[in-house]
Amino acid sequence: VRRDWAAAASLCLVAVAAAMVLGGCGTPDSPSILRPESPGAQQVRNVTYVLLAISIVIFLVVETLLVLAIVRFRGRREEEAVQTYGSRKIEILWTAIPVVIVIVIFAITVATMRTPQLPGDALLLRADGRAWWWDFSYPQADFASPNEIHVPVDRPVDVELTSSDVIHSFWMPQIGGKTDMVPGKLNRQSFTVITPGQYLGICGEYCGVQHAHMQFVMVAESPEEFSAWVARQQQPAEEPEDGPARQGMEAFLALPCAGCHSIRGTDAVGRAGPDLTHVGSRLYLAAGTLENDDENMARWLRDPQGVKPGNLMPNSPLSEEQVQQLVEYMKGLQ
Amino acid sequence: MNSTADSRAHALASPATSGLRGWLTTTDHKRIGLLYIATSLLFFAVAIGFAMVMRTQLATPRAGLVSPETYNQVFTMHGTTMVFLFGMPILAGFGNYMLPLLIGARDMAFPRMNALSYWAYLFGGLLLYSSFAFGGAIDTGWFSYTPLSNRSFSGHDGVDFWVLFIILTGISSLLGAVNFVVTTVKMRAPGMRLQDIPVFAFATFVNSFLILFAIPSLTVGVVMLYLDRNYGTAFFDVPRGGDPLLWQHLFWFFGHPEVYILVLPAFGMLSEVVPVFSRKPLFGRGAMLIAIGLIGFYGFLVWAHHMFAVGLPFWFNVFMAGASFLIAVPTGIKLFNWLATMWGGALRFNTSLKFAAGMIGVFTVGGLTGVSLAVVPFNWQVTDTYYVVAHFHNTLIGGTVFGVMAALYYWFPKATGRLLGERLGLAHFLLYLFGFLLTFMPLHVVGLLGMPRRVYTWQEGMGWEPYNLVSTMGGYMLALGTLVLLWNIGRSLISGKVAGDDPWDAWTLEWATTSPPPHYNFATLPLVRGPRPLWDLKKPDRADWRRGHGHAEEPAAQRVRAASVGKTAADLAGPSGMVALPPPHEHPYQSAAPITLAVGLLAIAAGFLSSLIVVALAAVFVLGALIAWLWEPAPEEPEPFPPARYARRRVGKIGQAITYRTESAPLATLLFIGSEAVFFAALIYSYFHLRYMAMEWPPAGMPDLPVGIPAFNTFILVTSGVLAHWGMAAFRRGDTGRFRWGVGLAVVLGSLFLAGQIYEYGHVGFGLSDGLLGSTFFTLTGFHGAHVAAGLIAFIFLLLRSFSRDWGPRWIGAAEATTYYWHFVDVVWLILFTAVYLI
Repeated sequence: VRRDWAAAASLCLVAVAAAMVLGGCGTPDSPSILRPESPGAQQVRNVTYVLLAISIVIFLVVETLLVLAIVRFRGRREEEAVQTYGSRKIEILWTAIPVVIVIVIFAITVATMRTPQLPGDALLLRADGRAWWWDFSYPQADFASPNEIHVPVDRPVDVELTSSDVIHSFWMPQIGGKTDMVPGKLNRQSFTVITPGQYLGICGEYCGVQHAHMQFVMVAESPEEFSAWVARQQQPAEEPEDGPARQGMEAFLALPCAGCHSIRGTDAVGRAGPDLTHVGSRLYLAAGTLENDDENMARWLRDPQGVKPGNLMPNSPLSEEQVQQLVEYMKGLQ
Repeated sequence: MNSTADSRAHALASPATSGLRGWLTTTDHKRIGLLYIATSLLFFAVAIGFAMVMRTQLATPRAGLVSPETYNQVFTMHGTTMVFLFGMPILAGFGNYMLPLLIGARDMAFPRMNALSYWAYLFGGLLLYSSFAFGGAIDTGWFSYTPLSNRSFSGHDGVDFWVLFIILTGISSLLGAVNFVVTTVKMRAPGMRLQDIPVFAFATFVNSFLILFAIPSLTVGVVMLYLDRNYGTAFFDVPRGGDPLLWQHLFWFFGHPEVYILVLPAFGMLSEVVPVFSRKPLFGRGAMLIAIGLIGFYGFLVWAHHMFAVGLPFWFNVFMAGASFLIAVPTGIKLFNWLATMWGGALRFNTSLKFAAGMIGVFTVGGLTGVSLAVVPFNWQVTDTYYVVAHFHNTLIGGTVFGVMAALYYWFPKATGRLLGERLGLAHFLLYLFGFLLTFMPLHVVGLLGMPRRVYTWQEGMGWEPYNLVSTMGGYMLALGTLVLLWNIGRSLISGKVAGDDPWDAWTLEWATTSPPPHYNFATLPLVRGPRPLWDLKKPDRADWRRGHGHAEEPAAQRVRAASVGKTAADLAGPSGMVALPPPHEHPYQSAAPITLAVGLLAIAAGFLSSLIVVALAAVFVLGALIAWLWEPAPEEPEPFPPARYARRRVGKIGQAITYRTESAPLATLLFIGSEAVFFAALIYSYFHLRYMAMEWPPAGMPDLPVGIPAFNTFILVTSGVLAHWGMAAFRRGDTGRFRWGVGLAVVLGSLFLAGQIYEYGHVGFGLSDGLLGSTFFTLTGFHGAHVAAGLIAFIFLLLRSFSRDWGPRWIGAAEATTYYWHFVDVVWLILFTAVYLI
């Protein structure tokens, strides 16, 4: 009777493996590599399924043999154990079969490693990794768009990657694999998005205290929407005429804010923190980790160290009135 | 059972061995092994505590149990502790306790060095943990990538503590590795060929080479990191031409072999446990040994599969991927051979075999995910996600930990005389198996769903919730299982069932002595004719060697040995099949030298964390401790049975027998030189790596190095090598006078070389912190100079010793070892001279 728990254990293994396969798709919001939205990521997804199939077959063979061995041969009498030392034939067989399998997998690997040549009209993006945010810029259109990129669907995008401090890694699970952003080195990643939507980008290399909160969002949209977005981003910031937003701007320029942030069209030209020229238009705050609404903006301004401990923006002694004015100003930077 | 009681009484009889002092000064491999195992289990518990902190924090989104700073220290210390303070040392502990017993030896080849390696490990661990009290532990990950670990991004001293800890435990591992290899080569039982040794001993043997050749690469890396952080060198400093990827190459050239260092001995353990409890010989033993060797060898060719995302050249990635796939083949052979060993057996399904079966079942998953990770485009997706975390815990828990547990239940009765409880064992096993599956299977999925590693928290709405929650519950089961294990150990020590000498009716030599064994291990040994000497002894007419497994012939070793005592080994063995060994020493050998020296090394490390004055004082202390060590009269071990190929060669050469101990020094030195060669290779690689990344060399504004003094120095050093060689040749002929002349002149020339180097340092016109040229020039020549100084000290010691009364042929080994070392230093200089001054 007690022998059955061994079989139960193996069943559990199989069940867990099955759950892995079924659960592999996650929820619709998961940044899952199994829900790819670019040809490159789709290829990797297909490779994943091939690997999974091969693995499941090997796994089942091994576990079946293991369970059978335990069930059939446990508790037998000593004399029944035949003293066999090996078998050249069988050993050659189970050397040769794995060799064939790994040759097949190796061929798949080499075939999928090459990145296709980019056509000349690719959209060029530059990404500079910072602790702990992303300094994106569009060199063809000459503006910065930290922590948020927009791309047109069906047009190849070529991203130049580097870092200003430590090593980060550029990763959008549904679009493609990771490419490290190494200081002193220029790496590239290219992709084409096929479905409009928002895609999460994640820092894939441990980069210090706030590695967990280093994300960005990519918006893939129609070419028309994209052109409109570019045109808007190229504009300098609109100066608010009066009201709390105006007071917010004055506070921003008077306080130390401008030492680290730049807002095109004003005297703020700091380079240490993200460019805020169009911060109001962005979907997220704090490097893709906080939805951009009034409440979160106020939280961030009051206590950046509480929201994202250890980040490089110090807490400033702002009055509640100043916070509200700054929120109004930021919101207007569309 | 009587004999067990006897041996206990014996072990306690000698006052020198009892109490705290007895343990502090022990050189007995069994006690050292127990110290290793107990210490590493303690660190295991601490690291599991860290894991529980992490899993609790990650169970739910945006949890606030610990701050990000704390979390980052916790995950770094979890990994560092598990690898360097639990994994490696518990395997070294089993190796220490078991290796001499497995091969029929009375101790390790260098008992005091063995003790030193334990104390260096312990003090290294304590040093690392003391960093919590000095501003915070390291928080840059166990891999400590630059520039994150540079001073500018990691201001507190945690990284420096880690560097010194890495060096101390590195010394420990290297000494241990040398000891394992020399013991295995020189001290096997009569008739035991290298291919006859138990698979765990063989795995430890192969592993030792991995340690010897992998660790120096890390040592070079951490030394450069230390210099960058504290002395302004530019190795990894991007603005001054340094390269963070150089660190990654150095780290992973160590780091990948390291994962095999952690798993090969577990493969060996399984190969001991599975046959005994299946009541069958190991299936395909030859293939198993070859597979271990191949895995170890391939382990050095795949380091950059940890670096696929950093943007290395296409074909380099292709090569690394191809080599990684190759490793699957010998690993598969091992799994199938274990299964075939069980197949057709008569399984004794106790806790030990349960863990072994669990390892076969679980490690398979780790192997398969390992193959998938070598598929480069897939790797780009899942590297640095929880998929990787799941993968390597499959290999390190499913492999190393399950293997260690199988071995613990198997060998515990040998070391303590008592069995571990089987009922608690079952609970332990079930908690471990199901806890493991629950913890790590969901993490594969959550990795595919995009969850990155090394995050102190995560956000809701990504579909990661159920997987993280289940994983945390599984983690608690693993922790509970560990408590059950500790309870089982404690209870069994006090009131466990008495085991007897051979509770499993097993087949290897450790079961031929008492449980626990006496300090001399064996009074008699069976004549070994194959891998299962006790099977052959218990079932003479079904002996393995009668069926072509083992050797029916008297091996050459036995014939030569016989010539020196006038009998054949079979004669010695007599009708009982047991060979009587020379009478052992009455008491075990105690020495305070190892712990004294280890204290000195710790003081040096502490000095590098505080002030160079402390370093200087500690260095004087260490030198004194070394001299005391060398002067201490070591007991002349009665020589059991030296593998006689050496005996024959030596007998012919110097006309008188030399003990195997004398023989051991040159072999140990050659192994050490092999390790040092990797050290210098890594340094020289770094030099060329940086030099060819630089636009011009020497860098703009830096002078060309004048060749005059170094060319003269080259001439001096080569001449000193010739003189040392000439002196050594004279010593072998018995001519001490010429030996003194040769070595004495070599010392004079070596000192001149150092003087020339110091003069050059003063006149070269730049310093250590002057860019890449200053960094590389002083580091390369400085380390070489330190080696010259070490060689000089050894030669001076030999010269002084040559005037003492016990000078004679027994010193040939030490003299030969020093001469080898001196030649090595010469060769390194020729390469350095070419690389630094000529090219």
